[in-house]
Amino acid sequence: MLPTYCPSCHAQLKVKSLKCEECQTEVTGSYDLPLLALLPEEDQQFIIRFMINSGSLKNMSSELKLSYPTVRNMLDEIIKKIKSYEK
Amino acid sequence: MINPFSRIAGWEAFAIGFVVVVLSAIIGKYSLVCFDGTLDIHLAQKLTLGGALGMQLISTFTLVLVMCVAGMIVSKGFRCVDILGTMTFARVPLLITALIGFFVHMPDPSEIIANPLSLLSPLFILFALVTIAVVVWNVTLVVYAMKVSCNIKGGKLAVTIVIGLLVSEIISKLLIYFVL
Repeated sequence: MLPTYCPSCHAQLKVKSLKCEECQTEVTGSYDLPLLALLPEEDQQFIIRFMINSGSLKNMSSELKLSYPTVRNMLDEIIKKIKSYEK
Repeated sequence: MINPFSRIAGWEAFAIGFVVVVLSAIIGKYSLVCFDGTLDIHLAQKLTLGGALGMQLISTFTLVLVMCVAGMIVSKGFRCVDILGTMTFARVPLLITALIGFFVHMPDPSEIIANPLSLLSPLFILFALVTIAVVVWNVTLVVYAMKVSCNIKGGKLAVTIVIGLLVSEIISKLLIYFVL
């Protein structure tokens, strides 16, 4: 799992360098992490399952064996987190 | 036991809840336990099947309607069918009281006046304690029903539940008094 927060002060981390495995070229700078990468792993898994189920909460609820409003509430919580990251 | 609504809601919860609600009213007719209000459980001396069913259905659907209106005020994007299902299912514990009613009977008013201590029989006290536990369980289920159906928490949830239960108790009592 990609670390997104500083283990020392808990501030949001930035990407300093990216490396090509083929030619060993390194690109350095200060890049923001993608918004989805900031979410906890379980939320990322939820979004992936949501996409695979064509955005159907009904299918999600039968796959996760949870009630429809519970799955909808999980989605609402993720939306809240994404909105807070956007600010 | 406490929050079945993470797994069951909507029409499925309504189907199970409705069967148990009707069953508890029918059993209550024979065990002389009536559900005469959203939060009321009482022993009766005489009960008709129509009266037992009427009281139970009025109490259940008043709770559903009041909580639907409350949901529209405090939440957005909820489904009325989830409130219908979860609130009906929340009344499942009442079946226990209907069954316990077979072991206790309401003394005649004349008997109570002549001997007030007749209300302190062990079976009567047991019935009272079970009834309190059932009401607490019922209210706990109502809280989780609202929390899951409308995605509300904390103070907002507490205020909605207190006002919702109070309003539905008053309306159900009035409806039972005037309709039945």
